[in-house]
Amino acid sequence: MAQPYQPGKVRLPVQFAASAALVWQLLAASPAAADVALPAEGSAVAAPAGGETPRDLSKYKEESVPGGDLMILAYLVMWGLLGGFAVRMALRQGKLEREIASLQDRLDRGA
Amino acid sequence: MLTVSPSSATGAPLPSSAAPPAVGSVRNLNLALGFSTALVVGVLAWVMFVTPADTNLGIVQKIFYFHVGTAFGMLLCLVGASACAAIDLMSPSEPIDAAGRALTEVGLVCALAVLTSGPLWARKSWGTWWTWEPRLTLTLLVSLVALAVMILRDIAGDSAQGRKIANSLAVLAAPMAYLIHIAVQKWGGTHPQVLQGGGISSSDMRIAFWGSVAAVLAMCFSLAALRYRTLRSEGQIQLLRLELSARELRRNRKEAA
Amino acid sequence: MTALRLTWLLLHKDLRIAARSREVLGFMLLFALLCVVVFAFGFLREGRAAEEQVPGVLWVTLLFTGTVGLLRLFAAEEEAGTLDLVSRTHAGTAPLFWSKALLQLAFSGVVTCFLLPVVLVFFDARLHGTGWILLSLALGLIGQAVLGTLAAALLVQVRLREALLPLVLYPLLAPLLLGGVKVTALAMGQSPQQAIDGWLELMVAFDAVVVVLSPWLFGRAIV
Repeated sequence: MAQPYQPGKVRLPVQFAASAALVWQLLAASPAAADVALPAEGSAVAAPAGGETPRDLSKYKEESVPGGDLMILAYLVMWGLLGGFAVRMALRQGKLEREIASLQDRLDRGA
Repeated sequence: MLTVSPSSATGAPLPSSAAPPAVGSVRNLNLALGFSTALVVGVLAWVMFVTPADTNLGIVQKIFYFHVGTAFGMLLCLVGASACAAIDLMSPSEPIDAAGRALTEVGLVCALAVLTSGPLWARKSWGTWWTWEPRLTLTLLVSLVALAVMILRDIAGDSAQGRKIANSLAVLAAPMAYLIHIAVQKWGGTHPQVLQGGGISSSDMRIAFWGSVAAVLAMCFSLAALRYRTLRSEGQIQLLRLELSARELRRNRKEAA
Repeated sequence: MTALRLTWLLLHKDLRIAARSREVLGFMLLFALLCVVVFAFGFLREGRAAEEQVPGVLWVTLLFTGTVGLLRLFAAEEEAGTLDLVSRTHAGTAPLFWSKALLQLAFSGVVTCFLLPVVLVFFDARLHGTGWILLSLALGLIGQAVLGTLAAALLVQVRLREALLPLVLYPLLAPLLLGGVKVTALAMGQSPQQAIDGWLELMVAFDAVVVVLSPWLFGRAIV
């Protein structure tokens, strides 16, 4: 069954993709990014080139934890979750509305 | 809101609705979503560019603003969900039940956000990913309870029984959450490294804090409305299906007669 | 017929079924023993005495064993399809609820009497402050039986309930578990009285909330 183009369905995901891109740009341009780019003092921790993941907590010094990385990760996860929920619901809503329309159509034709 | 009432399944004529019936106004919902997205982006820009970095914790302290915002969102959503469940249990109502479900799910999404941003912040400020600090423990346990409610509702399906079961659990969760709060407070009370307040020291920071709380709450409201709409649409589809099969039955009976 | 008499009749019926087959209680006892053995494998190093693990092992084993019992609590009604009938007495649903809760309490009481010496022997521990430990066990078992009966009843007709029961029950039981472990550890370590009192108060509060709310929700959700 051919579905007519319904503008309301497409807008929501696009809206969110656009705002996600904007957020990403903001994060990259913010002073936080400068903090990330700076080589941290404990470079063994900041860049685990040897591939070893440090288990010992004493290896982490307060200063050597890349705070900007943590912050960007936290924000990405946070908005990824909320945005993902919104996109999923918008997509589902589109599907549901198509189903409602087709059911209504069948009812109207039967009457 | 529903254009098809259950009574129509028993023979009353359907309201002639040419356009697909809308549950809630799509335009208002898009408006709310756009508004909360704009608010979030604005506050985010404020947090990133205007707010100074914390003198002790540095840049990572900026997690704090939205972290606390999502924690507020989680709390409000889950309390609201519990209240909706109680109301629905005493006098069943489809919209209230759908609102309760929507709030549970949005609260759960917020809880996940809190539980990931929390450890990321703790790693820098406390030097560890996780401690059994009272608030962390409470958040973890409460989100487990909310998860149980949601899974139970999904598994039990849309039967009246499943609805009652999940709502009973949601009602029980409220006083239990309070008891869990007291218990973990006593239990984790020996850890003194709780950072009080997150160190708000300037008015820029205060604006960022309340701005992010407002932005997250607006976002929670929009998301809950979005979820509410899908739930209501699902209910509408069920009614339409019921109506269709009722007609089929009537037609078959007429042909047989 | 009063509600009390109805409760007793229903409990009597369940006890007679239990006495005839001894299946559920037997499995609970066996399961408790297995739990302790597995915990010993997990916690003991070179067979050395490990008194500090006793509270945790004791309470977690009771929690797990209680779950085993709860999964079979409504088995008789379910198999005969009589849950609807017994819940619709003229005294409401309360008699059914309390008879089941008391049955679960009786089962876990028997398990505890068996479990306590087993844990003490296997973990080479000595009991101090026995009175407080027994009091905390009583409070813990009451709370667990009442809340557990509600959870089991809610899940009677739900698919996957074996997996769902722990998911529903364990987070809600957290205060009771924390309190029980704490009281046991404090009493065994001969700690000052005030520390124990606070945790006992919490357990009493938990039991009070559960005893009031559970039968009400049971009546709302089952019928």
